[in-house]
Amino acid sequence: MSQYTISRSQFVVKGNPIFGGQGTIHFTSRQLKSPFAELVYKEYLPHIRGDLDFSILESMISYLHSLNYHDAAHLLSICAWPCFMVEESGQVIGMLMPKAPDEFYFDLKLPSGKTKKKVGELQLLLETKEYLVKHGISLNDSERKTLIVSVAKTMKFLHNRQIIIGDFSSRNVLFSLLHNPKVFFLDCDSWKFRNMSFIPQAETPDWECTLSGTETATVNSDHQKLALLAIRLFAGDAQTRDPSKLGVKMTQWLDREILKVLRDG
Amino acid sequence: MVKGKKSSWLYAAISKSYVAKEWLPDTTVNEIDDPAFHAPIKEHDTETRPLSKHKKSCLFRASFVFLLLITIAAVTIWLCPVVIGFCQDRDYRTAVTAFENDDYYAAWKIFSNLENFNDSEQRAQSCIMPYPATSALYSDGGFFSTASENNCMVIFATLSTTEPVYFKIYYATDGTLASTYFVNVGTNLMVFLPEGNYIIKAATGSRWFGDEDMFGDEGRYATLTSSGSDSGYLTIQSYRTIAFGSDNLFVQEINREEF
Repeated sequence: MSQYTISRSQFVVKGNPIFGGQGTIHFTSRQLKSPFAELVYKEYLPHIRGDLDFSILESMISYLHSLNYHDAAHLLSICAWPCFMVEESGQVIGMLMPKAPDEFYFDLKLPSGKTKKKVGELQLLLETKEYLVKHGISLNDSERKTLIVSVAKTMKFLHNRQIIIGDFSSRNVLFSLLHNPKVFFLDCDSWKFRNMSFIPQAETPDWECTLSGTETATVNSDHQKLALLAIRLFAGDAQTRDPSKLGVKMTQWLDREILKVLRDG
Repeated sequence: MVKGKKSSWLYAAISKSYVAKEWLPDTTVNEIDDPAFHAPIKEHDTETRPLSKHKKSCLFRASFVFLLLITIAAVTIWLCPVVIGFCQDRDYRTAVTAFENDDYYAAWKIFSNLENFNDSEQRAQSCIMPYPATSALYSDGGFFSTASENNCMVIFATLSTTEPVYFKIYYATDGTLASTYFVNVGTNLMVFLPEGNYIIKAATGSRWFGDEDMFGDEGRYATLTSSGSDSGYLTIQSYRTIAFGSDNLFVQEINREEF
């Protein structure tokens, strides 16, 4: 067992779990001390554990702990990078990762007029202006520009560290519109790390890569999904793949600013 | 179709033939099929940021360390006299206390080390006691100056022209102190001692701090015995002269505590 493995008996879970395709997410009282982060527990479904290569997850966790404080804090501020493996009876059954910071939660306006605290999935912003107003989300083009640049910067940061997102979609990215708009990436355990995948690569429907003759998770495919996100964010259409919906000026702005980020970081 | 779309990254990125390298030729695009991309990251190697940023970071750190060192040096230079002054003042007070407790030798040593601090030089001089007059400073038996048939006249003297001598006389039988004498330069002292064996000790020096510390560690201390004798004592059977430095006495150097 890795030195970054803790026993399932060493922490308790609280609140209602969130059920996902690969496992169940639980909130915990466990914290990472330095850099500070509240941790959530992801327990992989028993029937998929056999398909997982935990040595790759261990590499990802070791990578985090090999970073200096500044770099580790930055990594955990942009994504839910795995922090510890969790074992039970000598078998790895899950992992602990940082909880999305509070700023990535927002008050969603319900049809009844009440509000509900909800995690800010980026897909909520790929809707029409009317939809956003109806749900109490105030978003202008300036904020959209900041958000897409934030996504591009995070992607560039990850690519520089041999990390490919692969299954990039608006469901795996959270947004915050407080102060300076920014994003936070989820499902990091499905990313390709140093050309290895802990979880077999998959793609979210409507976010499939259309590049011919390439693997599913590459720099090229990440770029394509970034372009797709930009189109959908500015077009207010979660399904479109048509860049002509943006107009010349917006296209030119995206070309210039995103290429600048992808070039210089 | 949008005008100029062939030169648009956005249009290219969503096409089926997008290649990042064609759009970012001047930068390191970590293509998944690039062998360099698969090079393992060294353990603890966290630096994969652009070189210019790295240089800026190093420069900033170096500047910070330099400024820190300058600050430490400045504070040290400023603080040194303060610390030294504090220590000297503390020592001075210790010496004054020692002087007030009649521990003149201890006070003299501290004042001497303080050199020019306050009035240390003058105070060091005041710790040195005047030489006592040539006389017995202590006597237990009352035989001093007592002439009788069983007593032998003994002359205590010094051959030095600059330093007095302090004698201590012990009974050889049980080692108890019989008497002490102080003999100044150019003088001698006549006493009458009962016939017998005595341990004779002599001390000399240039500064007198009283009969406890005597001439201090700077003085010279010795046991005087008959030449060629290793008995450690001197036999008094008749009149004799005991002079520190004379050839007819064997001088065995000892330290102040043994005196």
